[in-house]
Amino acid sequence: MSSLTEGLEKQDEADRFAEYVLKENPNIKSREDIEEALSRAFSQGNGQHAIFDNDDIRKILESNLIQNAIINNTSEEKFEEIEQEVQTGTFETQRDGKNVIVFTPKKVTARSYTRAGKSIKSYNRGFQKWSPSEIKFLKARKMRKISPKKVIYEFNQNFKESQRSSSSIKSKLYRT
Amino acid sequence: MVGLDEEIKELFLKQQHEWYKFIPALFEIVKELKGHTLDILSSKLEETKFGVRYFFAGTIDYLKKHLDAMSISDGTKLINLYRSIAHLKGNIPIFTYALSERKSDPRYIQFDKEFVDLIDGFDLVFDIDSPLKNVTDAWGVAKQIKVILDEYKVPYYVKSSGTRGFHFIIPYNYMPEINPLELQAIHYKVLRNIGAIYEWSDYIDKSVASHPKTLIKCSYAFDSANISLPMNDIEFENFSPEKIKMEWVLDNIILKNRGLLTRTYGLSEEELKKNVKKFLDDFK
Repeated sequence: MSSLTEGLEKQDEADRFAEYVLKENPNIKSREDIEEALSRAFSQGNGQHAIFDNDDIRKILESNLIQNAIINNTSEEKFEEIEQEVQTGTFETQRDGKNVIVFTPKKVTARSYTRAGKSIKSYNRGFQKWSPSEIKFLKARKMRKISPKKVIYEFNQNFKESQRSSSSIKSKLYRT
Repeated sequence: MVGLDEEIKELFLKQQHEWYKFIPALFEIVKELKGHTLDILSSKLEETKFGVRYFFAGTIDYLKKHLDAMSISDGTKLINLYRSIAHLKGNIPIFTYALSERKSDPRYIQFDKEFVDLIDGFDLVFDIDSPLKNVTDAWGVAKQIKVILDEYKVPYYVKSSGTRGFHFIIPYNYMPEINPLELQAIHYKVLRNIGAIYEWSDYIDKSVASHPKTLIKCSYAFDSANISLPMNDIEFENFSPEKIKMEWVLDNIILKNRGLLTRTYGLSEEELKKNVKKFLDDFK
């Protein structure tokens, strides 16, 4: 993990980079647009040495500013498509027709852990579709301004057979 | 206190006797029991608890015989009439009236054992009770549930559950044609999720969809001076606890051919089935 990626773990830092991206291109519609905007934003001075890998783009994509911009410019479905593309990291990219970088997915290994008393030995990297009742559940709580922490707890208490990670619930809560 | 309890019990016994002599009421009970078992359980006010299950009550004569056998007609026992939520294919066998021997009857044992295989569908029942044991409080939530059901245009009927709640029932024949046990699992999720989404978990009893043999009170049954009365929209909107009292019902409601007052919105059966499927898909 690069020091930049580590820095982007902080929400403030991810938002700062998101602002750079949106300043360069407020009409971002794809992962390539984010990458290109970053490239432009850091094409001078010390910035020339900045290298953005897939993890960095993933972090920047988690910023609400970017999420909202993509959803506004395209659709929720398109955003989910980009999110999936970046999560799995299976794509090729070309920057200004010069540098070709091939991203290969990292091998993900998950420690076995226990969730709701059930031992989970592998982690499903696929994306489980959100059911209408799950979305209604989140919408109702968002309207009542219930804290995300409580929503996550209540969500996994109610949908015991299809529990989700806290980041997944939180992310969906913002986008719902 | 004991004296008061006895007085109340005596009054209820008298009213119960009067109600179950009333033929239009018996006729309406029999209509709802088609394909369902009749189950007779003791009222909460009875000191000696009892319960007899799997009565066939396809005609008024049978229903009267059952009530006689359970000492209803002679006014000595307070009972509640329940029915299975499951709808059964084929006939319900007629077992002996010797209640003590009933459970040892081989046909009874076989029926009890094969009950699940005989099910061809389940009603979806929203059993709304107030945690405060206050029927007006339950009515508040029931009104909101009614709005949801009306929005989806699903076929249902609504009735008072007896003393302090309401039942919304979507009949089995509008349900998707899937394995009945899978269907009941979906019903459970729907009740659980609606309870969680709207924060009515304390009001909606999920246990009605937790087991194939669960029961609900029969429509038009007598329960502690009240009637489990199906209501039309106007009656539901203007509900008050007084309007389900037996005396009020006898004086103000024409029971003959009243039926269950199922809402169908002028839609065909196919359209209603589609609406039910959409409703289940959205909340399961």
